[in-house]
Amino acid sequence: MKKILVVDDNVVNLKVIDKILKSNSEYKSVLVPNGQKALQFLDKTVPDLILLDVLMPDMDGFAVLAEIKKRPALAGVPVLFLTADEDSGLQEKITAAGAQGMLRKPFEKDALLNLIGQYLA
Amino acid sequence: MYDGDNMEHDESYLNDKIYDSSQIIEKLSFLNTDDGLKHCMDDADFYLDIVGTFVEDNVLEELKKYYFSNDWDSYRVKVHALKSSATYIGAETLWSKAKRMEEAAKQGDIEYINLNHHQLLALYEKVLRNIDAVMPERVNQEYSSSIKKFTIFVVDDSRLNRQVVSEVLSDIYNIVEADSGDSFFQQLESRNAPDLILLDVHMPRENGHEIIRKLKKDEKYTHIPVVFMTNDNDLSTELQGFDDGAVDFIVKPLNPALLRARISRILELYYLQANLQEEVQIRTQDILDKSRQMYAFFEQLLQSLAKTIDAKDKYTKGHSDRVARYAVMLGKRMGYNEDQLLRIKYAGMLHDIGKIGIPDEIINKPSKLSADEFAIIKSHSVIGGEILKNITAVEEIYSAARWHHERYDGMGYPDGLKGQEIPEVARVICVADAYDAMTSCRGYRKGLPQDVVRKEIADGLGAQFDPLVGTNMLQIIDEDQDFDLHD
Repeated sequence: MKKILVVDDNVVNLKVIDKILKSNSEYKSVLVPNGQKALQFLDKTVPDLILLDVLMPDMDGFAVLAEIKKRPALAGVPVLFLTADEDSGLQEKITAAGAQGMLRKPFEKDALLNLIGQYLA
Repeated sequence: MYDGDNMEHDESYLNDKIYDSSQIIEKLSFLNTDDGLKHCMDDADFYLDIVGTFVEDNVLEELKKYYFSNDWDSYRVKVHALKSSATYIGAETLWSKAKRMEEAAKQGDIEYINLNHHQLLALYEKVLRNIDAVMPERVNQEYSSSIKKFTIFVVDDSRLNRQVVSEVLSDIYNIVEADSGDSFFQQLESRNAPDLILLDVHMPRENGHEIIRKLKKDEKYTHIPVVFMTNDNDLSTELQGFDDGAVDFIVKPLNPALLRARISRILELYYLQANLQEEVQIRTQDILDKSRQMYAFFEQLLQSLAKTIDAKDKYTKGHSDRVARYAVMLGKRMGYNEDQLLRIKYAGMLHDIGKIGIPDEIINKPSKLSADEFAIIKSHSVIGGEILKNITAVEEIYSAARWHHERYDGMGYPDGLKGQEIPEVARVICVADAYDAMTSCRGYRKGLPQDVVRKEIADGLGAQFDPLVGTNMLQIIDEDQDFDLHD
């Protein structure tokens, strides 16, 4: 089983991502609605992959990633951004921040699964 | 699903199949269900779960809150979430509106947000309501308690007509029926006010016109939109109806599609208006609160300044406050309005501010002043004018400080102004100032008795004092039977 942490403030997004991940019996998803809860979880558990929303209240995706980078235990965990933002400079920003990749919302089921598959071989 | 430590995912919510999905999806015709289904991997049950979540997890209140507090960063996050969710349920119009709003919030285009916020809310609310009407038995209904069904009251003596209305509208609205004016008013008193009233014009006994006039007399009900149903295309009936306060007409026999469209449109407009009224109220209250705060702060600042002035001179404690009080009494007699009274009060409180620039040993000298020392004391009016000359909002403040030692006969200082050349506020402050100076204890003497003071003022009419102002002061003294004028 591969454990995937999904961080998104929007329940609809969480449910859709969860639904997609469920289609692969190898994946187990953990859904959290904000950065604080994500970090609480990460203090106890090291997942196999993290899916991060960019635009969230209080702590946005970049702030969460910065916290993740401070934790040595999470050094090998791939982080992928999922965003509905159409900002063209986002890709560079995300790479600079140290995330492995990104996908624009709304995405096709296969697009997400393929992307995740690259990191969870 | 994600409370506290128990963050492991609960899988049960997806398995609760409680409805026939294809039937419900058919009723969601106001959404682009094909598109929504596609985004939901063509899983009908999952799609309906997402549509239900869209209602339960709605951000309506947050959007209102952040809009009112001008918190555009948070507003952007919420409108972004709305856009994202709208995609998955296939709410196209809402999606494109939310997208433009998000863009505006990102660019800081507050004007665009102000212009479109209420329309977005009205549209959002309509979508939520429509979904709620189609999916009444969703899983977690308590979350959506703020989304209540609209209630429509149908008043018509024809049972057939009431049935048609009920059949056409009852899936989206609560329908209440009455067959006469009497029954209508009886039921109206015993329940929550409806959101809209459909009223037949032609009824035996009380007709529609009579009913609406009676209804509109009661303040509780004036805001409820009333739609007339009529079977004649009679212009005068319609005009009469609009005069009585109806918002629209529907011609019988009722066309179901038209009836639905009309009602939906009227309620949307009505809610847009209600939201706008609410905003005006909140914003007005906000401004009032702020201006009250500013006013209190201003008064307190003024009091502190007056105390500072009086602290300089150990013989004149409370002098500024009292002069302001006497000036206001004089102003009242002279017919000043509220605004003028406030202005003269401020002028009175600050008239001696120039004393701050006079050396302490001269101001507080208990023995008689030399000519040089007296000249220095006299300069306080010029110094006061200099200190206050930037206060242009209340120009009386400057005038009183500079000219309250001018004399009506032209023998005063600093400018030797005469009669009406002296601004009125200075002539009033002059009398109030002299009265307080004479009645207060000074270093070299006790306060003079009231009758001596009265004579001084009477003798000074037209010389030191403006005769009109001085005469008013004499009347105040004469009416002060309890001798409590000077406390």
